[in-house]
Amino acid sequence: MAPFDIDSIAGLARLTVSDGEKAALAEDMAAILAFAATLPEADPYTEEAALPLSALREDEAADSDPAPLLCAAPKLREDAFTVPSGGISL
Amino acid sequence: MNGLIFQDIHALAAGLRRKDFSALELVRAHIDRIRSCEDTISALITRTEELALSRAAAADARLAGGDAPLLCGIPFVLKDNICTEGIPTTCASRMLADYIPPYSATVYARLQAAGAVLLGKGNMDEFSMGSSTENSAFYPTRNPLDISRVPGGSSGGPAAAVAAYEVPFALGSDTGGSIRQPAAFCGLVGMKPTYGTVSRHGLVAFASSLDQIGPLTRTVQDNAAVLSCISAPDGRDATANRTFAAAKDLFSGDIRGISVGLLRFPGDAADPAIRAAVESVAAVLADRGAQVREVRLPALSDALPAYYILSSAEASANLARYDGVRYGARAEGAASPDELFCSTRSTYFGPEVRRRILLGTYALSAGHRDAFYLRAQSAARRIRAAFAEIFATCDCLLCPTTPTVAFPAGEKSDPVSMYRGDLFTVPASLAGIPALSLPCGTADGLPVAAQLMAAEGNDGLLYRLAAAIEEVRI
Repeated sequence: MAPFDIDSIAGLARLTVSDGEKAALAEDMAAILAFAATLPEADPYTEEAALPLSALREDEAADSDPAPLLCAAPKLREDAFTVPSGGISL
Repeated sequence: MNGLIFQDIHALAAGLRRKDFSALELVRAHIDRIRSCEDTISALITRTEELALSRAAAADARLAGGDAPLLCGIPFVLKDNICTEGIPTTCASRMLADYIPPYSATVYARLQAAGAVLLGKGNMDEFSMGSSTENSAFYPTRNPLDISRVPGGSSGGPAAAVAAYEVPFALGSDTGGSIRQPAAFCGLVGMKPTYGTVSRHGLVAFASSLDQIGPLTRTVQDNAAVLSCISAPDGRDATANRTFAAAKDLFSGDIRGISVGLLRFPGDAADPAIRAAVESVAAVLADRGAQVREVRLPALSDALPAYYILSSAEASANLARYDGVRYGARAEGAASPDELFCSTRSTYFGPEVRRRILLGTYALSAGHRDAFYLRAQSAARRIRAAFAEIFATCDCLLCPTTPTVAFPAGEKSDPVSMYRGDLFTVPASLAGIPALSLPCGTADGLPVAAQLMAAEGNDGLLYRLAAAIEEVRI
């Protein structure tokens, strides 16, 4: 089983794991993954029905680029959408 | 009026119609009970006393009109992951501590339309991740039958509220056993209906392919009545395409000719007292004319790991929406959007939620998807096929709901030992079939429960068998 790289997975999950938490979390995840690794191989039907890996992007956390979203804003102030205040009450 | 709190829904409904008491008196009696119990049990996160009193007055007016539904005027609790317009819905998470939904879940709307009276929102494991209600971000709930023990989870608050006579019924949600396990620990009837029988619109998502709402009650007949009320196809949830309606002869006690498989689990680690109680249920069913035989389903040995991979994978996707931008809590002082996402999620999600998000992200990542996610999907498919095969020759399966009785608070600290407690409940979740837990005895003074499972859509059969078992009061 591949080692569990907490920093890399936490980056993908948009979580920060403190140095103090890492050891305990790594131990927990290793135990959980060892438990999950008892599953037998996937059958050919499931393999075939699954989305091909080529359809997935690489597992790399990237900075968010707000530019495409800002293009869609009806009205802008600096790099933010301008919206009416007090328009929604919960 | 104190005796009112001990009555079941059908008795209360009859009393309201005879004008033995009013809905207002009934609601006040339950409010008094909540006030006297909550310091000890902590079943509720939010109480809705004022709203309840106004709804009770409306229920009295409707009852006076003479054509009120069965649940009119009956108090209830909702698990706090079911959206209630204008009332906080926290999922027991700091992330949603201040969230007030602008809309109501379909199940709440249906109960309101029936005139039932909401008394509060029940505590739970954060975002339904847990089996003891100790993962609530606010406080743990205690088991009313022994306050040194957990009430189960994740619907531990709703279950404790019913067991403590704070309300006659509650709605929970069940992803891998979260209705059935707390029902077992608190001595209640808990039903996870066939997937698609109850709308999930307004249920805060954990694992969407598994989540299902269902009732917790003190009797089988009450449970069927509540499910009948909340079940209907719903255009707001494309998977809600079934209706359950309790047939009149469901509780006749006649179970002659029904074939029941006494399910022997691979690696069955149930306590001997629990196994013995379930075997006594099998004997009762046989005495009453059911055909009982032992069955084995080897495919179920993969159910637990498959469940934890699939549910965590779905949770990691569903909980991506909590980013500090759209709703929920927001961490202060972030210098960039990415810092805002990371800081918010790390600050406001609790340890178990973060653990499962990490597990799910790992299982779905391109480098590990084949080793975990696809294998889990494949195992789930084999489990569904195994159930389909067994239900071709057998109407219903019987097994324990939990391997142990309610365990002491704080006893289980490592996640895998907590996960192993879901051995008997996760297979029905993966297969989408109905499963019902009902009390079938005691061990060490605590309730023991049996679980009944049937083929997809056969929810009524479970009630029929459960009613026959309940009649005998093992």
